[in-house]
Amino acid sequence: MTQDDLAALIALLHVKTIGPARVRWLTEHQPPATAVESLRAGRVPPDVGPAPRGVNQEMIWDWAKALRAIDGHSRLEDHQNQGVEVMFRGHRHWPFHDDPDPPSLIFASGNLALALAGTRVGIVGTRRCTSIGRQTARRLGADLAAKRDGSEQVSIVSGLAAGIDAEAHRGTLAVAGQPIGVVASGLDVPYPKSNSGLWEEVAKVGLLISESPLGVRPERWKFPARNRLIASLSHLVVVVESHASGGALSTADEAANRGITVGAVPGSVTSSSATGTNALLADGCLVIRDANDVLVELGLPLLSRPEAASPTGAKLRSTSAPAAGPPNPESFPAPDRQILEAVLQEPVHLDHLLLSLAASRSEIFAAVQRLTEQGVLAQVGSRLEWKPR
Amino acid sequence: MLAAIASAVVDGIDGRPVTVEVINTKVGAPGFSLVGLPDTTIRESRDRIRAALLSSGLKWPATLPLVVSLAPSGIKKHGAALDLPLAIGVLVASKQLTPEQVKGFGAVGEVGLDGAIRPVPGLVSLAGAVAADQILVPVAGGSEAAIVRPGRARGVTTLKELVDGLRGEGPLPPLIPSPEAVAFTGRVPELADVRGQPIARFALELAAAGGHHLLMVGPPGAGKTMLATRMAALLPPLDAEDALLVARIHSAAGLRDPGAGLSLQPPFRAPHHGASEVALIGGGSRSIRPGEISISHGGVLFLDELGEFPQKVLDALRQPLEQGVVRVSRSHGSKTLPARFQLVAAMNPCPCGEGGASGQCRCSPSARARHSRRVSGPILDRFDLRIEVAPPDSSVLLDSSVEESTAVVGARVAKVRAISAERGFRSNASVPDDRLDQVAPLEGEALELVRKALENGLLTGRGLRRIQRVARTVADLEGHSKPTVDDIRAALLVRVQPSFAGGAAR
Repeated sequence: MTQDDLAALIALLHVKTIGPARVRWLTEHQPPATAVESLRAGRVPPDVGPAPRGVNQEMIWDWAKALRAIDGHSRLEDHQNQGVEVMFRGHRHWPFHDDPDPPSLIFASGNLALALAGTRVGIVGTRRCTSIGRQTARRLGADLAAKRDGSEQVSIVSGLAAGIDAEAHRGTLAVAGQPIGVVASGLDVPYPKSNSGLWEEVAKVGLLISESPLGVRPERWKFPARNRLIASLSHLVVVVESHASGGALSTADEAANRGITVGAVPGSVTSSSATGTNALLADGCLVIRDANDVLVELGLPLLSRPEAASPTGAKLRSTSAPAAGPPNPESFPAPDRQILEAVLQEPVHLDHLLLSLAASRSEIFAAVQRLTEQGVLAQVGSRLEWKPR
Repeated sequence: MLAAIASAVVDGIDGRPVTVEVINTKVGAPGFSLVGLPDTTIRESRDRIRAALLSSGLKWPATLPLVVSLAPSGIKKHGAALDLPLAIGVLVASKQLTPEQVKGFGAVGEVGLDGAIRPVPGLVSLAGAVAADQILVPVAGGSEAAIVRPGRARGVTTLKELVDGLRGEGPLPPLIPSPEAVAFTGRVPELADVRGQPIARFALELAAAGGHHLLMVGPPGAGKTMLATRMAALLPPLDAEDALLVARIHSAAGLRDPGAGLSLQPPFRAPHHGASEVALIGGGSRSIRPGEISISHGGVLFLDELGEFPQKVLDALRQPLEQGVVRVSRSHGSKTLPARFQLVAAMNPCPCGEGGASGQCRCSPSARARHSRRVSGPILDRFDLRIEVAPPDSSVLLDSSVEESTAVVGARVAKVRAISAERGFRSNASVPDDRLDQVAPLEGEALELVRKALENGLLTGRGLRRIQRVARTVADLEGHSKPTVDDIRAALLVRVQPSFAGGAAR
């Protein structure tokens, strides 16, 4: 691909209303430079198929105006100056050769080799997740990404969104694993802002890629488009928590369309943030309880049991805690036991404990305080949650 | 002939004595000259009085040069309360009544064109301020006057009847019997209607017993408003002094039912979040009127959707919350109004309302952040009690067992209030910082628990004082002489940091 064509493609990707399908329509039968040249003159490029739905002359004029304001060459230089690799079909590390809906360009920062190396597992889920979901995502990320002797390392692919995505990346980073972050906006436009620290870390130790050039803000439609790249990059996609609709389910759909196995973590039938994942399971997706369920499917060596329970290293664990996952309620006296049993199911309001337990108010309050001090419970407002370690 | 009739005007919630002097100067052009800083309402009273005199079969002295002076002349006067004394003054000045016939009578009231005497706002304060042996008041608001001047207020129906009585041609308007104090009027919301929600009930009981400000955070339909409306009936009846003050405030705000006696019921006010700063705090361009915080003096101010109130209004609440009074300053003067109310507030955890239970919220992170900024830290800090309210389970709603009634809980509340009164405080919430360690000492296990909470950052220094007061109330309810470790625990669990405000520090 020539520099002119790269510059033309970057210019096209700057236009808000041009997505992957429209880029393909414009550049399928002619070099991008030619297409952009005629667009800048306000004309439909000579060698295109029938216009996709929604494209009309008025839109072409808007594109012409937008394209005339963009200097593709200087934008291309910006990328080179900032060390952002512009990857295209034919690039040495191009990962989308077999994809039915490939991007025209991707912009990458970090360890480019990761895009093709080893086994890649996508861990995705809702932004509005429970603390249990957050913990599961972090644990899965850590367990899968940890280096193991005699087997290639698994990279974790996710979307750097709030909630499950961020936790999957955090778990990966905590065990010095290889995170791959696929984002919707330009690599220099962190979204959500609260995750900007995480972006930098992922780019530093792993790989950060986007279909948007530098400086491009996230548009709504870019997130589902981003999800297809997550699916395409993964050998297996795990949905940790999802509501009845949401981006994680679109990732699962994209994976299924590409013949990639989709797994889901089962959740409580009363929890709205498990509705989507439980529906996936009802449809026959793989049940994911822990890292080993993923490793079995991928044909990789399993983690030994104690390791599977706490492979996350000292970083994730409080030093005093015994090496265990969820605490065993049986080892606690009443009413601590009943409280713990309830909280392990889902977060509970103090009201629920006061109404359902036979113990007095002071006894229940005392038990709550004991469990909080032991680091098993977290108080969130008037609610109690199992405290993720 | 000089006529001097004692009357009064309202200033804030106070009555200011005013003497209405009318004289026929006998020289100069005929007319009606009014001096002494009257406002428009008083200027217009000439026309009302003329019409009233004529329709009552009396004469309007059109040919006399009348001068009317409102003394003291230095203070601004407003309101229609001076109509009646003006009418009497004109009758004396025009020799339709003699000074002897009106001697010893003060008067307040608005005069209708047909000669009917109508009630005016602030009669309680007005009646107290009129410097006369007996006062003539509108019969419709007579009971208000009789609260402060028992056996001295005569209820006037019409001007004609009054003039006949004064001339001795008929009976004098009747003395109004002093009204009885009424503890509760109307239907009281019953606490037994609240199903389940033990934490909220507990917090409500503590709030009533200790006079603590209460914040309830919860999704729509969790019953926050229902709980709040149960609050006023849990409070003990007002004492005589407060009841009179409340009557004066409500009378000045024009809120009292004509004919109602002295109410001992603590007020419950629930202004909408669209209310202006002046409506809530008090003020006004012509005269300073009491706002909602003064109207709820001695009772409960319920602010539903706390986050929707303008920031300015919430910040203006801080001084009254601390001091129990509000100082309203305007170009024409400043007034200190009583505002010792108990604040009960409710708000949603986030804009969609579902944020309490994690994973249910549909709000964007930025919307949540904006929501949490709406109620500032200093305001959150003023609440001794902060709880999250969850909607009760269906099983609880359908359960037929009987919950504790207002009467049962109210009795416990009264007991705790009596204990605080014995210690010399109005309520546990009003114990000053320097007396707190004496009233609510922390010892042994309780001290240990507090120390741990402070070390772990679960409690701040300011929070400690609040926790101590609440623990004192818990201990009083439980019959403990000092707060025990159980009482401290309970206090910690009913003063949570709302989940929207992040962190666990209290």
